Amino acid sequence: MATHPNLRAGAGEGVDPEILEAQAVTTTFERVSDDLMVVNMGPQHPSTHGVLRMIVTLDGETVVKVDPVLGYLHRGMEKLAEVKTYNQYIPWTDRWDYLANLQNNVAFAMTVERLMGIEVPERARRLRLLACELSRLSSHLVWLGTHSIDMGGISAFFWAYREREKLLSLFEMLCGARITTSYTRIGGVMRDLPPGWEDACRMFLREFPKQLDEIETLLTRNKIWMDRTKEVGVITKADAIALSVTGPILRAAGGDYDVRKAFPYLDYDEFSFDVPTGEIGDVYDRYLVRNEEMRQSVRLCEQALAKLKPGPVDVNDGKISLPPKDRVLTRMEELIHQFMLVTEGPSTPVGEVYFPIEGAKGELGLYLISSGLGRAYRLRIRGPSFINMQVLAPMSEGMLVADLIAIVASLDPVLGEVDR
Amino acid sequence: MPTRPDGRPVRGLSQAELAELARRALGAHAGEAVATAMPVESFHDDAWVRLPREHSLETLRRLKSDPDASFEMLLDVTCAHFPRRPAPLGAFDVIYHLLSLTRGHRLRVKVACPDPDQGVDSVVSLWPGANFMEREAYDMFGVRFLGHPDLRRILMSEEFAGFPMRKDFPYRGH
Repeated sequence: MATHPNLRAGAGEGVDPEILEAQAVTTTFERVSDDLMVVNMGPQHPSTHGVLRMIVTLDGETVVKVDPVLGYLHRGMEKLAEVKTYNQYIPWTDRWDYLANLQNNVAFAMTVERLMGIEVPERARRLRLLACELSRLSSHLVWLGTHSIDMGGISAFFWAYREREKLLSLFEMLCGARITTSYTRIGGVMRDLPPGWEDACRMFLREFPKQLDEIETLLTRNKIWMDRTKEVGVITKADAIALSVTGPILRAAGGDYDVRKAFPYLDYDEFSFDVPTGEIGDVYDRYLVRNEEMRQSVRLCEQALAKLKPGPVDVNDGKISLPPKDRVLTRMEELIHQFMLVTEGPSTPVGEVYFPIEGAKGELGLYLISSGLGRAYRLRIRGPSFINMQVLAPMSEGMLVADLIAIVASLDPVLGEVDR
Repeated sequence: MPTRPDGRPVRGLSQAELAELARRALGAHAGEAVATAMPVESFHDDAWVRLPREHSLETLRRLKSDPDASFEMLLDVTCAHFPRRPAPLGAFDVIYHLLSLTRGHRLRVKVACPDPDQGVDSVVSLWPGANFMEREAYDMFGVRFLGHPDLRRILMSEEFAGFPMRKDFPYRGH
């Protein structure tokens, strides 16, 4: 078949056989020597939180080596950004960290706005802050529920998901979708709040801390929970910094870095909230830190609702955000604006920006190089889940297999963001 | 000026001061002439410096240990591909984002890499966190990182041919 136009090289041609051998461990167990055994975990394993695959070398029940195999959910998110206009790309941002979609929408829109040198009106900023904090709550609730089910506690899972369900209903009211929110636009948000949303949100914020207290009574002083999580998966502050870890994992180890405090955006410096930190950096500390973060998010949401004043929710500039439809249908200039925005995207200067936000998992940094078109020349997504995955091996080596499950759960990886 | 909970200012040194520190770090290693020629570019209120490929590792080492700069954390390593960019810069940029937790500032550093096979020096010896980032950059762009302990693909499978983030790689139909 030498003349076949598209005959690909067979799997493994020209690849180091040793690497192929390591990757070919598809049997569940393999005894490699008298003492060591290689176990394949994932990618279809419920406790790996998605398609994380780990090749674990065991000595009895002790973990000797962990090699995470990533990429099962790689969709080429960075490549796609180079062929989609900025507004077209927003639905793809939902699929990075698909448990905290709203924060991705906000991060991407703000990066492009930073590039264009524009600032959105106050009401849009408040709505975006609400979106960020509510999505942090939603993400942390999934972590809390799945973490507890991994440890064998079913009740907390149902309770956490019940609360998340209320949040998803709020998201649905906000933008019509529960998961694929696509809430922001370059220059603002897609629409103003629907009637009744503020009251529904206030009611949720009033009820939620009590529900969180109830979940905590199940776990925080539970002897089994403490035995399974204390002194497990410890990382020191120095190691966490050296391994570029951000977010709750760094804070649980004692590092007080939070982008909302260190490099405020969305007027976070006008809000009062605390950044909780741990001391030991074990699974239990990460549990405590994330729970406290949820309470702080509630505080932030309450303040944002109190500061929410009527006003425009986008920049009202036809060269940046879509003009009102009735004017598009009756006026020449608005028609041209709509046509140009939809076909070419907004016009941007030649330049580059790095814009970080404090995502639910850590610093979500977007590095955007623009060649002056309505789409990115290069978009780099610094997914915190991906970079935090590096602590998995140092944390788990020397622990038991059961601890490995606890450690993966406490890292809270979202594979959409790991693999992008 | 807003302050952090512990009373330190939110922002550390300005971008211009950081560029000067980078110049000092480069000069201490490569000599005054090279340091004077170091380009500093900026956009909005962001600035970045471009280090010569052969001096990048030493300069980054000095930037990490310099108490004024004290970049304890490497936030990101990535690449960008400019297929038609002429020499001496060549087709690839390797881009580092550095963060100082104690001082509260960040800096972008670029190193031009004309030949991806020759690559640039790995910084895993300075920041172990560079491991996955450099593996991803290699996986997507084919830029080699010299001295990396485990440079193999991370997101694509080992048998994958080509480097998907290069501009000459089609975005569909492969």
